[in-house]
Amino acid sequence: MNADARHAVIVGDGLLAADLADGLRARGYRISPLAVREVSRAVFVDALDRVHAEFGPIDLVVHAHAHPLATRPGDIANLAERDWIDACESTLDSAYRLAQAVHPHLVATGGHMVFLVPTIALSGAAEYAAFATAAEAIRALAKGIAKTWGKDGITVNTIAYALGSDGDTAKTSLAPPALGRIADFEADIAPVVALLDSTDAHFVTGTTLVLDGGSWMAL
Amino acid sequence: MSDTDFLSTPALLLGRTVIVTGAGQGVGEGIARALAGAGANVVIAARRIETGEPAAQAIRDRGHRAICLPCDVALRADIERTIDETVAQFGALDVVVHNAISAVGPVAEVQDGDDDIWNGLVQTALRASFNCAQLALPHLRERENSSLILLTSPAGVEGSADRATYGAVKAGQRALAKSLAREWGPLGIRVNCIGPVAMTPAMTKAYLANPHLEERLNARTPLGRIGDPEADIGAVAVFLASDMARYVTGQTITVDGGGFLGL
Repeated sequence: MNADARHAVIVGDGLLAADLADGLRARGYRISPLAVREVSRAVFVDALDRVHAEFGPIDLVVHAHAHPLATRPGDIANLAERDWIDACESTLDSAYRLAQAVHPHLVATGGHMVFLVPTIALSGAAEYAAFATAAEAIRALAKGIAKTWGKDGITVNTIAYALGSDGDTAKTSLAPPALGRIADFEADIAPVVALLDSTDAHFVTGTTLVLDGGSWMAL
Repeated sequence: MSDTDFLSTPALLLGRTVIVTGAGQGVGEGIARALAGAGANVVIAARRIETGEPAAQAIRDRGHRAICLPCDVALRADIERTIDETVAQFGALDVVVHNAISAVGPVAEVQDGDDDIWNGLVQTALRASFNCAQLALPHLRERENSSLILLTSPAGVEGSADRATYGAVKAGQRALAKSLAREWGPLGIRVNCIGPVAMTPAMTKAYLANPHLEERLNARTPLGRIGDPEADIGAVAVFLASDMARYVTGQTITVDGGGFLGL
């Protein structure tokens, strides 16, 4: 492992986070994956402190977590309040608590934070109301954080990706992607995350890059 | 003609029944007054009956129809009871305006945020929107051109430096409205947001604390003033609740004198 390589913490479970990690490793990053078992500031503080102690200063933090219920389709009429809390509020809370915990680490390195959200944050989606709500809240949270952490030399941005299937496209009225496919996180998303973590993007903060192959073009 | 006479076109909402949460004061009260003036039966759902009941009485004093029901929107059972009592009293429910929100707290960066403030915002803005929507749905789907209106904020579009958490929950409501607009469109139910900037008791306090704030806000607002809860914000709520907006859904209308022009 190259100790001079940039050190990224990727917070989240599943293929999305794993593929993103592979893509960043291929670009020379050292990766500390962080699965979310419990959402609290204290848990994130402890985890980041351990990562820092073992692997060194943290340059980049990526939030790619969603509660498993968030990605399960279902009408709002039939969603139990407990499931709403998990799908929406727990997903949002993980972003908020992570941001709280990560601040001193990124102040120390002048690092970067990136939030990954589905494009349904922008478009809304039938049967995914809880996830869309959490995702758009995270996007605005990122903007608010970007406004205040700029003075600390930290950039904060969001990447929006398409949730993946033809059925989802129908639920959002989004056009099929102009490039003909949804994203491969390793090949399509990871390079842009690396860009946002680079000096080339030092003046980019508070924005959302929509990496959906050209479905959402409303900006 | 007074400032609000133009709102008094009772045919617009005659026979419609509307619940407005957080209507004991401020923007919610202004919306309730405007909706009642346009002919609606208005239910003021207020956590504090000591502000809600005088607001309802003031509407009745104008010759319009309003009652106050106690409702803490952080509690699903309160929302359910408010909807049930509304239908019991008026026979139907056509529109729900969810405006209530807990205290936004002092200016603070995210890492210094207060847990109680955050939890309150999530519960009253997001969970309460979900509960209002889900519990009202069986009644809204029985009516023609029924709708849900969520009060959001320009901060829900551009984010907030002073209170990132407030901007977050207000943005979440916008995505919820878009999602429900898609889900409920086939049922004939519309869902929209209003993003107001208006004089409220909180704004009055802020003016007193900062004598230059009013001048600064007015200067950055193209229309040169802060909105009136009834004449400016209420008017848009009347529009969205009425048949005039029957083809409008999933939208956020920022009613802020042009202060935010990002949409």
